[in-house]
Order: sequence, then structure tokens, then C-alpha cells
Amino acid sequence: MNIFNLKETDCKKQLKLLSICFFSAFIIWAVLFILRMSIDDSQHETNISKIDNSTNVLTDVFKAHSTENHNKVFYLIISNNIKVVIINILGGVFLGLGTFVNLAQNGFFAADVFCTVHKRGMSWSKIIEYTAPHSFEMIGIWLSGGIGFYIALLFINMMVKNKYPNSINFKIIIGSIVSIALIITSSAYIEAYVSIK
Amino acid sequence: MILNIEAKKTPVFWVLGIMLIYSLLMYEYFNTIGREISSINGKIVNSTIYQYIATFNFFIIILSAFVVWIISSFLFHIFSVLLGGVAEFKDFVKYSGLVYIFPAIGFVICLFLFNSVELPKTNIDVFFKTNTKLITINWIITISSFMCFVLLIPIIKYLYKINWLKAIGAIAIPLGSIFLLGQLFSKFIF
Repeated sequence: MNIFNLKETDCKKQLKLLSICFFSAFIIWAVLFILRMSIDDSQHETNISKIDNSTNVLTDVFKAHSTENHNKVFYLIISNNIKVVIINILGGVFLGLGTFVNLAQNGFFAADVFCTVHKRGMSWSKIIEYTAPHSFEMIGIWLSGGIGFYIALLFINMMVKNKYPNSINFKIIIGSIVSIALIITSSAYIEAYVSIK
Repeated sequence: MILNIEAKKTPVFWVLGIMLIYSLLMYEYFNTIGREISSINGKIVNSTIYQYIATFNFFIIILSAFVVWIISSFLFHIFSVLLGGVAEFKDFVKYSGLVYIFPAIGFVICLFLFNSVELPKTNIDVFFKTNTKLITINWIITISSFMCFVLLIPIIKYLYKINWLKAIGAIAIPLGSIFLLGQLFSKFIF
């Protein structure tokens, strides 16, 4: 495999590193998602909207959907996903702490939204039916988390080994960002114009 | 030369200890403010979820203090090297960790001052902007943090063997850039 016309071994090594970072991002998200799912909080209203704006975005999406304003739905979804992706990537600059917090928060609150909707009467099968068609946006979010951790590793390499990033690192990051842009745009399109109908 | 030798002698656990004290005091300070405001607003919730979030926040604030220290030190190191300085990052990071003792003392004073403030039941936002003690607290935090950066200037000058102007630039350029980037992000993105 020789992408970007670079040395095959270096490229393979870096892509392997990126895939480990991607897998770590997925694990962090999934652990927090499962953790929230497993918490029995039936005695208390969680009222998570007080501390997180994801449910406010969700309310806006529902309002726009009820007025059949699909362009607004698309804009709301894509702008929210872009924010998540930007924080995930830039979080890498803080040695991955920002990425970790954002992924953990995203997984936790995503599960919280599911639990709240289920508590208000929607069956699990219906929730899966509505969310599954566009759920591949999560790949974009995990990949952005992966890039965040990858950037953190590059920083640690600079600090500890005095090893500065080369063209392979930059090309891998740019390639991944382009892939993320494609994934979140197509997912938002499907969510706004296809599955939400 | 003297500073180089001293840097190597500085035990790592001293630096880590100071950073730990600083991060714990920072957490305690922000936690006290948050708790006071929540008790007035009646928003204290003892559900399992909030307990998880509180524990998570504790570890994140402690870790963030360490991350900010390392990253800011690395930025100053890069700019010092770019401006012609020569030194090891691991030596510089020891010194930059030691100067966090000043913001740590600042947080202790602020905690004592904040405990003597009676928060009103309404218009907390206005109270925070107008109360003399709270304004003083803000100034103490700003000055103690600023002192930390000012103290780094002579450290950079002697450790990296560059002149005063370049040492000031090694601190001012990254800090100014971060400030401008912050303004850009807050206005146009978030």
C-alpha cells in the first residue's frame, strides 16, 4: 500500500498508529455511552439540558422538523457536528485531554438523550429505527477523536524525543479531515432530507 | 551555567508536588464558587448522574492544570529556541513548574476572601461584577498568574542564553497569539 507517494513503511506505521487512536476514541465514547445506559436514574429527572447544549440542539431540530424546514434541520445538524469535530481535533493540542473530555461527554449525553426519550414513552426499536440510518456520522466523530489523539502523540514525540512532524503526518491528518467532512456532510444530508421524513 | 546546574538538581517530585497543590487549590476554588451559586439557585442535585459528573470534573480539572503547564512550557520552549536559545525542554519544564507556586498562593488568598463574601439571593451576575471583594479576588488571580509568566522571562534569558528582548518575545508572542485565537474562536465559531 503506497498512498500519497510516500515511503511504504513510514506510511503503514503512521496509519497503524492512527487506527489505534481511532479505536481508542471509539472505546472512550462507548464506555461512557454504556456507563450512562447502565445508570438507573429513574428517581430523578436528569435535566441534562442545564449543563449540556446537545438537548437544546435536539429541541431546535425537532422544531425545524415540525415546520418541514429541512434546510434548517441540515444546518443545525451539520453545524453541531462540525463543532464536535473541531473540538475533538483541537483537543489534541492539549495532549488529548480536550479530545478525551469531548468524546466522553458526547458518549454520555448521547446515551442520556436515548434514555430520556425512552423514559418518555418511545420504544428502543423505534429509537434505533430513527437513528440507525444516519448513525454513520459517529464514524466521523470517532475519527476526529482519533486525529485528536494522533496530534497529542505528535506533541509528546516533539517534547520527549525531539522528533518533529513530517509531511506524512500532515498528509494523514489532512486526508482524515477530508474524510470526516465527507462523512458528516452526507450523514447530515441523510438525516435532514431522507430519514427524518 | 549556574541555572543549568540548578535545574538538573531540582527534584522532579518538588515540581510535581507544586503542580498538584496548585491544581487541587484551583479545583477547590472553582468548586467553592460553583457550590455557593448552586445552593442559592437551589440547583444542587444528588442523583447518581451528577455524582459521576462531579467525580469526572475533579479529575479533569486536576489533569488540565498539568496539561496547561506542560503545553505552555513547550510553547515558550519552542519560541525560545526559534529566537536563538539553546536548552533542553526537560530542564525548562522543571523551572516553569516551580513558578506555579505564585498562582497557588493566589488561590489560597482568594479562597479565604471568598469565604467572607455573603452572596445575595438575586442578581448574582451583577454582584460578581460590582462587589469590591470579588473584584479584588479577580485581580489576585490575574496578577498571580501574570507573575508566573513574568518570572519565566529571566529564567528563559539565563537558561537559553538569549537577550531580554528575545526572552520577553518568547513569552509574549505565544501568549498574544493564544489570546487572539481565543477571541477569534469565541466570536466566529462558538
